[in-house]
Amino acid sequence: MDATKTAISVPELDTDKIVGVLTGSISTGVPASIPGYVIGTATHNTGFGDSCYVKGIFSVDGGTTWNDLGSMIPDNTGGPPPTFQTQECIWECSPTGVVTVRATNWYNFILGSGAAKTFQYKLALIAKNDQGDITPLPTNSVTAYSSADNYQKISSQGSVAWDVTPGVDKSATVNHNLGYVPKVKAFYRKTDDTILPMVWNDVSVPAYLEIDVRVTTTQLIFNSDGLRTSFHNAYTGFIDWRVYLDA
Amino acid sequence: MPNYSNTSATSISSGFQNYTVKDGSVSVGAQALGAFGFQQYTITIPLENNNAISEVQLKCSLDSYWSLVDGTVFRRYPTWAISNYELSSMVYFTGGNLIIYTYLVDLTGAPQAIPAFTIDARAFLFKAPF
Repeated sequence: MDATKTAISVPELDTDKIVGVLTGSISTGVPASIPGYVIGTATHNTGFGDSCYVKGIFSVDGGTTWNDLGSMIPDNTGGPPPTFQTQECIWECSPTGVVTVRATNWYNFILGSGAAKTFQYKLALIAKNDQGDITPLPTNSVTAYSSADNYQKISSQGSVAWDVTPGVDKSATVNHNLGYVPKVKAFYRKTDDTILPMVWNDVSVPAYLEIDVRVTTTQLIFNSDGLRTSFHNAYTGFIDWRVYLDA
Repeated sequence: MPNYSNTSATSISSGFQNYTVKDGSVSVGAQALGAFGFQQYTITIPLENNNAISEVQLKCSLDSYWSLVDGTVFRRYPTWAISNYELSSMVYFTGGNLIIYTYLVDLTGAPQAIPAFTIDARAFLFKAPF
């Protein structure tokens, strides 16, 4: 491409940069009561040589319905109470840009049964705050920037140091001072540059991370409940945050 | 920074395209929750397209802040008159609806009087880049 003959309009306000879109599926067998789950994983080497943020959705019914990564559909069969641990799909990104998707298929202890599940997933990779020099994955026209469309517009971004001590309450505040409750994103970045969602687990280890993100008209408040994290893991790292003008 | 010099492989990409913002709420009257008692509440937001990326914020009327629900959010309310109490929410799509499923669990092991509260939800939906 001859850049001197290319006209381009870029936004005055910064936006997220989707640097790749990944899809895949993970098949899991029938979970037994012990250990109570079956885990399947899939990895994608982005070739970035650096970590990035991830947002995504998954389906366990062949693509008819989709759910946010990190959520689980409660099973009300045989309840109340419902079975909350059903099928879960979590992501993490290594310091070198290997994205791991972990699907956990839980045994239903109320019904006393389990079933094999196939997890389909779709991921959007987002450039992080201090992204290094990477070459984005080929994109389709849906992600190509167009000045005719309305995108989430970044107001401010940054990071706060956040070391997790199990069982200890912790809080940190960032002022955005927008005067209204904005849209936000937040991710946990370990000191080795591994990126995790703010609520994350790997029950096979086991390992857990849980950080609240609270938003007011003037502040972001990150909070960790010591009672809930008493059986969690210690981490050293940062919370990367983004505040958008959009609300 | 992402390197877009190899434009034969990629085009300059953007973030998520704003699609729509939808609101929902559920109001809960004052109640007595039994020992380790459990209550569940659902906010259903109908969608035109459930193959979207969502970001949800929830606010309980007993809080002074909105909580970001990144798939799931767990919250405990030690500042309530009753301690050791959990109000947790999770977000999922099904049947053309965005479902915000919230459950209230008493962790004290003794019957508790729960004040009335409202949970408001704001769902930001984006065009899926898939």
